[in-house]
Amino acid sequence: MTKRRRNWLAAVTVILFIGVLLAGCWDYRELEKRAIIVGIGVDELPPATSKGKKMRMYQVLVQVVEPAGAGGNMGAGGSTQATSRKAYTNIVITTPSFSEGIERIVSLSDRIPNMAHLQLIGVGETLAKNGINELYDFLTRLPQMRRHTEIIVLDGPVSRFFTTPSISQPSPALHMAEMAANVQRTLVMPESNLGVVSKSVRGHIPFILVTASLDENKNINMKQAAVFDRQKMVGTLSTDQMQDLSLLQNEIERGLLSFPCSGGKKTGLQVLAGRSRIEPAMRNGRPHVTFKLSLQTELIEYQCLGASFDKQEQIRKAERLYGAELKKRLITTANKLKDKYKVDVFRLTTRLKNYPDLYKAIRNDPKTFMEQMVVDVNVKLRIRTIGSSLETPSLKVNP
Amino acid sequence: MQGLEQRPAISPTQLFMLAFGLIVGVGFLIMPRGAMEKAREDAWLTVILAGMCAILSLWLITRVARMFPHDTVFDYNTKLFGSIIGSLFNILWGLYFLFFTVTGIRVMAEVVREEMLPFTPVEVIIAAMLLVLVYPAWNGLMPIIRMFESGLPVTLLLIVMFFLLAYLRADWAELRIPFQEGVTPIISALPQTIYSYLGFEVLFLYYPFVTHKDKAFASTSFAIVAVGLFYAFLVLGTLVTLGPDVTTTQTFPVVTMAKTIEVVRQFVERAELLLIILWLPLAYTTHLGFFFSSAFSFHRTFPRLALRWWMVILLPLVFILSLIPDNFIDMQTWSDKVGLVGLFLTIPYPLIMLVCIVVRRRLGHLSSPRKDGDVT
Repeated sequence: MTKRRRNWLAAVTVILFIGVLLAGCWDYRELEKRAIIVGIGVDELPPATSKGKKMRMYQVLVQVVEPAGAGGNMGAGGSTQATSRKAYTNIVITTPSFSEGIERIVSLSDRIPNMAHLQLIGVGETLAKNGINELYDFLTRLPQMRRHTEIIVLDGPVSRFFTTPSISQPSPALHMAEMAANVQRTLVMPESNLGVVSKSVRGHIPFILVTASLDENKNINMKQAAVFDRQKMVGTLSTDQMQDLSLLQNEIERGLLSFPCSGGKKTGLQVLAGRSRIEPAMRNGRPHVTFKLSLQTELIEYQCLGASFDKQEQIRKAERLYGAELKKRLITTANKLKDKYKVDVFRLTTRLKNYPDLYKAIRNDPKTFMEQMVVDVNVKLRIRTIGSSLETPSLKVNP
Repeated sequence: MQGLEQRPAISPTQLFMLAFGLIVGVGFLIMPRGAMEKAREDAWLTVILAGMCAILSLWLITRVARMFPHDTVFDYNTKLFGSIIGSLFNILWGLYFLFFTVTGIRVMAEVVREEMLPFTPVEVIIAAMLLVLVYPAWNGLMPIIRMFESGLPVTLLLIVMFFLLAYLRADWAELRIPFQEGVTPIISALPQTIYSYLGFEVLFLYYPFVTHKDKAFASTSFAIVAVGLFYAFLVLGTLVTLGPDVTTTQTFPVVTMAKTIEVVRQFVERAELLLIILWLPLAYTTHLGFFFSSAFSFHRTFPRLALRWWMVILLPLVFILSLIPDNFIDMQTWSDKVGLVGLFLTIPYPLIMLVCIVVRRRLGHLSSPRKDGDVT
């Protein structure tokens, strides 16, 4: 073989080799052959016995999107009930192990599970109360897991949440994930996703998860939150408590603050921006924490009729009034939460890092710290805009 | 370099690129964990301190190299320690670079498989990387340096911009006023951190090819400073995004930090894939530099075999050795051992050499040093 021919042959071999490597055909799988999981719902079942020992059992519901838009609901036994062109399939598995359960999708649906696009993890209340440690380990060990994946507590049977239809989203899991993200994006709820849970669990700090429930019309709503300490659900927060906690935790984004007027009517202030700082001190051996809250707001509704905002003093008066009301409300909530849970729901453990005495005290004995803590709140509320109207109409004024 | 190319001539900028490209490789993905295990919130100070130690070590290396401006370490090892011990040291250099490549490539393959190509065997990832290593190394040092020059600035700029996105979601409450726990935690975290600066010791090998020897120390120290700033930026990033408790429990904390990035909800869903795409060129330059240095060391020790033959021999060796450790944790014990050898070669070894030089000169076995600033 001549040198020229040898070179030509080598060049062709290299090109063919590179072609095979770069074409991406090796181990290629069609989208329809992948089970892209967008949501999982997990609840705890009564324990099973294995070799004389009690073993935690879980019911895992896996929601897989159907790229073709047609699917069905698959029950625990693997039987498929065909429905009219659903964009998702639910697969329910009873298992002691999450990974084993998810791998069983292969035998139930002939597809390879892919959790890289998981949007929502729904935790049943029984599991939440018994502890999410095993679920947490599984989720945080998975390399594909995103830290922004929403985790919520489901107040009711898991399967009902994952079959509730949505108008805007193709699958219930995506609907709940979007709802949870929106709830957290507003003032209503401190941020709570897999990243925050992971940070809290590792730092031995309590955390809060959005709770979804079903109303009488079988619609999903997210008006409550669950408090977790040491990976176990220890209580719930009402909508107002969630909002107050967001303000105290410095998780302030756009949201609505309501203040009551007479006769059940309200004044609405839209939060434009805000910040909550803490001023801690150890006085006579007791921790004192002052939350210094500064809020920029916009007056969007004023049902306390008859007021006029054409003078600066009147705006100042409203600012003082609502500032004082907010302060009272926050102090009440803070005291209630610390007395009820005796855990650091205010995320003080992280925020006290630059105060060595207090940091050491809360790290060593958070319960005593919370019992002894004296809370004070300073609110600096500013109304930056009153909208297009200077005066609110009064019913008493004759036309 | 024995007919492979014209004698290399490394400019100060090229030296900067060479040092930077060699130092920043795979270690920085893991480094915040090691630094934060002991120093916790003060880990960024440990990183800066480790950088200062590296500059001190570099000063020692340049002091030695300046005594033999036209020789590589392989030439003056035998002059200082005699032919047997000198040759043993030369082999140690070759093995050190070889195992550095082995550990680096395996860690890279583990990261790529875990985060990007879960169904691709590690063997395939390693083989693909090795094939692209040989191509630029085949024609000697200068193509490698030019590759560093052309790729590194853009890669670095993009990777810094990428990590700035993680800073958007920073929790600054995680930061702490320094030295609250004293200096002991900062110093005790130093050994795990200093490994990440290894790479500048190649100056022992390539000093004779540096055109402006008077600027060799400055160029390489600038590279170390740049690496230090980059590392401090990353450690600070993991601290304010993950916090010390999460960082110390993650296999690859920097990859986990990338997972906190969400540009627009559900638009850039898995940002860590972007990180891996940006990081691979950095890993590649390190593997390339160390692989070539290994072949270069063996070639200088056993010059009868041409440099290209050494590359051909070392290539399958790297492949086989990199597959020996059972898992990533096993690989890390290998990395720690390589790091220890690296520490020996960067601090005690130049000190021993300086002592030998003084003793040999007193005994009249060595002539006085040549002037600085010689142009080869």
